[in-house]
Amino acid sequence: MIAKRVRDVPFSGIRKFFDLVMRSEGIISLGVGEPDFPTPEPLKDAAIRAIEDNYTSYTSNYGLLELRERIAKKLRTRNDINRSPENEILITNGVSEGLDLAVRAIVDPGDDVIIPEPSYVSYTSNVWFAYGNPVTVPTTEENSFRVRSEDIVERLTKKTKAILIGSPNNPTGNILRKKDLEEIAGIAVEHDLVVISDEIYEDLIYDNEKHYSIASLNGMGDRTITLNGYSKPYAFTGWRLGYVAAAVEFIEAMVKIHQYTQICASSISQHAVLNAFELDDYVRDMVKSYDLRRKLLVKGLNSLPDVSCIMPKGAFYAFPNIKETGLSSAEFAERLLKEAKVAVIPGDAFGRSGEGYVRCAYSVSRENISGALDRMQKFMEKL
Amino acid sequence: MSKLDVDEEILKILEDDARIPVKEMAEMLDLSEKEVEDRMDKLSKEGIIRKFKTSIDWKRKGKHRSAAVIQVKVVPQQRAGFSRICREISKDSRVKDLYVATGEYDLILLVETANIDEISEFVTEKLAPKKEVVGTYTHIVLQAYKRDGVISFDDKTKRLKISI
Repeated sequence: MIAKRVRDVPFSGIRKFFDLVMRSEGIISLGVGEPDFPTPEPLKDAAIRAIEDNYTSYTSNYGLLELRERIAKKLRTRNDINRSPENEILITNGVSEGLDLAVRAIVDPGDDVIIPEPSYVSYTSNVWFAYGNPVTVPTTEENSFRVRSEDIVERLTKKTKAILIGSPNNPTGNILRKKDLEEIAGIAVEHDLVVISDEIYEDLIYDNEKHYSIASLNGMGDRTITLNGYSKPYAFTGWRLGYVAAAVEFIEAMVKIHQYTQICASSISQHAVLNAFELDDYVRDMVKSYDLRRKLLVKGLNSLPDVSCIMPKGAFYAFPNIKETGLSSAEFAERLLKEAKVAVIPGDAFGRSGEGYVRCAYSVSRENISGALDRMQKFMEKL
Repeated sequence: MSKLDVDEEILKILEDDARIPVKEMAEMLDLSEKEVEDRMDKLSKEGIIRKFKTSIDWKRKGKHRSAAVIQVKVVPQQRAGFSRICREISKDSRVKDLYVATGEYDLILLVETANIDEISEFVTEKLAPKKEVVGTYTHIVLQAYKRDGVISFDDKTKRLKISI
């Protein structure tokens, strides 16, 4: 009864591990993919007001115009991206929807989409569901998991339609520097490709690094689809609110799909973001906390036998190398869960070049980070 | 981070958890343990760190205490204002908080005692008779739901144990 495309996407490996984690009691989990902070009070208040004021009906398919104007201003001032709020910005139910729309808007059956990995798990599956062909490009720890342009060029074919990047990156915590982005942009311009850029972790960046949007680079404005959203900076992953910014032809195509599949993004979430009082201090405090925990986790990981970890520059993930243990990522994660009651995510879930690594989130309390490190220390000593 | 900011970070961390191991603080702030200790000593000597305390739910321990918020109207004294009377009141160990505030009353006290009779005695025998005190307004605490910024409920937010 099930379509072949869907059947062909594996459900297995990581799902089984997830079920195992869900059933385990007394574990410390570094396996989360979301902030641990409560949603800032002004947002909660604004969401409650939105409900009380009956802002609970459909909005425009594009999303509230005032919110799109707000986003247009943010993109102009912070990202050097100029998009019209009228028809070049679309508010979506999270970046996940934005990604799906972007892929479906541009991919014809059999088109190649180049995806550097390890990367967020949806990237390849979304391309696959759109009858496209995900072409992954491995990256290495030696190069801080930043994709090399020659590795992209090597994989170009006549069918190549787009390059899909995410920076700061889930799961590695790496960021693409301006030079990396310029090289990708060069390839895109030369070969007339679209670039889809997932920038959801934009605000979570450390060590005075700066986030650049590839859409702001020469020749990229009209060929880039920028995805961003509020879940990560505002700590409300369950509210589902993201946005897409791109040239009008892309947005029109995406709105076609969006209007028939979603109608609009959550009206309550839209009104809440639009009407909440100043949130900058909340975001700054959260980033500062992540930064402190990042150092605690990474230094702790590096003091474990047979584990090494490069310092991640963004998001809230560390991606330690566990190759010295002689175990595969999946074996390591399963034994760590069973024997030490610590949950991490096997790196191969994010692509083949994630094998030999595990993803550890530091969006957990300091106590849990140090508790997990203690347990891991004992586990490693017995290994 | 400038040197001043580092002290501020240390204070923020300690404000939330006074028992954090020095080693962890050092790792988070990219400092040596010695430097963290030195800075904490200095902050204590300068009187910026006043004291390390523990927030306790005595009711759960089975030990019942009484508490009251007391508003006090006072006549300010020449050359001393409110400070002389405040200094005097603050010396009583049962007075946990003492503020000068705007409004109909001048001082707000939080008083904790072993039982309610002691609160009564404190107000009638000690506080009210003071020559500067012209009126008191006592609110007996019935229930404490949040103290020292710590909520007394055990609600836990349900969060996925694992997610991509």
